[in-house]
Amino acid sequence: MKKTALLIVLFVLVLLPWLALLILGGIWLWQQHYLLIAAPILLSSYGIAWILSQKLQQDEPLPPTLPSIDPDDRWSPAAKEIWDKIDALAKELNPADYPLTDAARLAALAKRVVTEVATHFKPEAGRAELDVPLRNILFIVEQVCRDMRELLDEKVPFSHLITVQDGLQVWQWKEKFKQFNYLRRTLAMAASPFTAIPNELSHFFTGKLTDYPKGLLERWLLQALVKKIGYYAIALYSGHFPPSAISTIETEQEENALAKRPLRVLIAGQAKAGKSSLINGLLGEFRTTVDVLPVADQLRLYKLQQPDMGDVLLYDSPGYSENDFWFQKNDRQLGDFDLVIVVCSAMQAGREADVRFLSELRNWFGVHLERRMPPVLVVVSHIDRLRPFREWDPPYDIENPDNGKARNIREAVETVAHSLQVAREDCVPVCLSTPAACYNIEAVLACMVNKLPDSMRTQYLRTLSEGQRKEKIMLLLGQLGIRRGQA
Amino acid sequence: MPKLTHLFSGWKFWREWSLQAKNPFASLQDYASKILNPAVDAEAELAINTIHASVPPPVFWLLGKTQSGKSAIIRTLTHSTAVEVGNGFKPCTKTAMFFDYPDAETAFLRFLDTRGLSEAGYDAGDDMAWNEQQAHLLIVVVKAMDHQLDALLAAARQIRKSHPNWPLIVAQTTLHEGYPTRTMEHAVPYPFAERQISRSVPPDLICSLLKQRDAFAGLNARFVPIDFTLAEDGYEPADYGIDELWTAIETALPFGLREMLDVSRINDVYSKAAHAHIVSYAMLAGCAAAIPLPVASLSTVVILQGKMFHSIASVYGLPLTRQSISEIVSAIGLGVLSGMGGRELLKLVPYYGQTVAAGMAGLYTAAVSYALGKTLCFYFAQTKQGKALSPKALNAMFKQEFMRGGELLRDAVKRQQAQTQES
Repeated sequence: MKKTALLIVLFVLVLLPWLALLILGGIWLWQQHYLLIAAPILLSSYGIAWILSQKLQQDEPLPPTLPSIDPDDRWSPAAKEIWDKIDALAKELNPADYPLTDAARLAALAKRVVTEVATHFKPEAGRAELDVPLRNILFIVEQVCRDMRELLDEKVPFSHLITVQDGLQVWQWKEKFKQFNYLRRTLAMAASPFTAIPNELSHFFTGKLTDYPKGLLERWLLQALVKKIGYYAIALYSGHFPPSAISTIETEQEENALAKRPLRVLIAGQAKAGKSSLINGLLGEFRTTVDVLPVADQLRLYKLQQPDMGDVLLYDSPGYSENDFWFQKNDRQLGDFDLVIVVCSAMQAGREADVRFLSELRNWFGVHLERRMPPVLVVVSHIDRLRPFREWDPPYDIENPDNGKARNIREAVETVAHSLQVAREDCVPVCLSTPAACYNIEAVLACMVNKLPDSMRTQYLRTLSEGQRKEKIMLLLGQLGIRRGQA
Repeated sequence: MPKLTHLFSGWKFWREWSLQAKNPFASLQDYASKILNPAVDAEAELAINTIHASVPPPVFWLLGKTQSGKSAIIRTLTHSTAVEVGNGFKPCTKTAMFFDYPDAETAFLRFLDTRGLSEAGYDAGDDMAWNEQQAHLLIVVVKAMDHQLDALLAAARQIRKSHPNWPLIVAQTTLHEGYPTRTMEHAVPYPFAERQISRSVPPDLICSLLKQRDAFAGLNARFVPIDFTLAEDGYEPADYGIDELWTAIETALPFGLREMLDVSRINDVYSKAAHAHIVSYAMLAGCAAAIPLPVASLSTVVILQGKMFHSIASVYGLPLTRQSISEIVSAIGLGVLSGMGGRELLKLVPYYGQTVAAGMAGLYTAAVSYALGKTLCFYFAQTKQGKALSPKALNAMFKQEFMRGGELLRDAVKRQQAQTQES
């Protein structure tokens, strides 16, 4: 007791001179008539400090334990573009404007997101929000509700929020979802689609968020909500999700089938560049059976079985020149392939045809934004014919050339990479003079394996667009009652 | 006006000329100071331009894709180095570059190199307009194993259509790319006679060459398979097919260009470097003497000889002094230079009897200038080695080179003659 008293005395003694200084300073300001100037300065600096502190609170990053929602990396460039918009929108939102308990505002927000996505994918429709079919909205709502529930259920940060009493409610809530008859729920949501989500959420969260860091959880939830709605809307409109129950069973089959589908590799190049030799080299390496199937449009098909890539179909194309491209004549689409290998002869300095081919390819995918451009590899052939002509003594160290031949090979590769605007590491020098004496063919295979993830994405979008045509017909058949056995 | 020159026969012409000859060749002092006069540049340029305007140098139009071997052809024909050829190019039209040999000022041979032929829609129009008025030889350069010839053929047809008479040579280059093994040597003797290919050539190559002949069918072309490589490439000879190519060129343009460009006879590096300049100035001087020019012919000849002396001096890196000019000229005799005392020499000129008078004046002046240049080279070479010079040796040198010059420049002067009379 005595000690505390002493401490207080000590404290006062230390503080007293400073306090006196403060008061004396005030008096001085008053006496010198500076008080009117000093007061506003004082107030405004405190005001700015307050605003800054508010801002600081708002910008506080979300704890990493709260899951973020990421786009599907198989999406097309068009889908990625709108996702970025939605992402930006989610970040801009101020939780104060959209209290989670205000159903009407949240509904408006959800509608805004769906409309934005719909407008992006169907710009030709004048008022996109009116053109969003009901079944699409229901589908989005259904998916978002399910996901939000899972998020809330599974993520750790929420566990401390849920009391015994709440747990019961959660359980009921979960049960409610599980037992929810699809048709009944659909009907309920159909009556007021946009309020369904916020209703579920606000019911669960009213009065329970006050213990959590202020604003943080609301902000995350709001962002998650917007992003989830955006995610499903994009998935739906870009055709990644079949929008009805019809295909729930088929989706899995579809994915299995996808894995089994072989990659399609196009071997393109000018005449005599070494396309066929490359195919021979690739096939000879693994001694697989060569299926020669003459295709109507002059593309020849070969099958390569390769442990790292599974089955790969190699398409040998006719040689092109500046004004003569096989795909223009035969109306064969350039988008049919998952990997494009351009074979370029090191001895052929006129590369205008190759440049034009690549720009045609890029143009095609520039028009078809729902598809992804396949990765491009360049194979520089005939390197054995570079100066010095008489020498061919592989292997050559192309990265650190130590003799004339290696230097010339490196130079040729760099020239090709530069003129075709392809990354240097995507250009592989090879010699294909005889099937027995192929050089560096393993590097081509290694590059193909490297490009595999990219190829798979391209393939996914390609098969998706091919599948969609089938899907639409099936759906129509189902609606007309021709196709049986679907709920 | 040119018709008038025919009227002069034998000695009448010489009398006419000797009247003119008074000023520059009157005294050694006068001649030497004219040669040394640094103010000749503008006058010489004017004279050269005038001569080039009336007798433009022959143009070899090389049409081919990039890296098909056009520069190798220029290099081999002119005995230049790759660097000289590479640096000598100057752009002239959007799609073409030209290379003047030996240099832009005194060119007696010009190469036009068409670029960007692998781009779609090449239009030869610009390039054709550029050298519409000049003598022509179209050389299509194509790699022996290349069969993507659409753009090339289109251009060749376009040119052929507007110039049905231009000679066309198709040079099929880089033969070694069609050899089955890397160790195979060129077939010797040269197995590609016109239209015939002997069995010593690999079948793949034969097939490819014949297919290219088919592609050019109807263009009235002469095919010359060649392989011009660098010494370090290891193919012997490095200028495989050069004889056949020269034969084709000489058949198309009988100007004696091969002889004029040949430096294999000359051992001295300086002399080799100076050779093309001497030939070129000698031809210009011959022209100046033979064709009616607005400036007095003889003083132009002296100006051109002066230019030649300066450029030889710069090749040797030695100063051109009044003393050296005096030594040479007095050894030869001023009269020879002016033509007055040179009658006995004139008889040495080959085909003397068949040459018309005006042509004779041109040829004489050309041969004298050539011999003068060569004698100066000899003089400088001896000076460099510190050897003593006798007027006798100089005179002998002059006579020898005079004959050589007459032989070398005969065809070129004839052509100039023909051209001036046409114009």
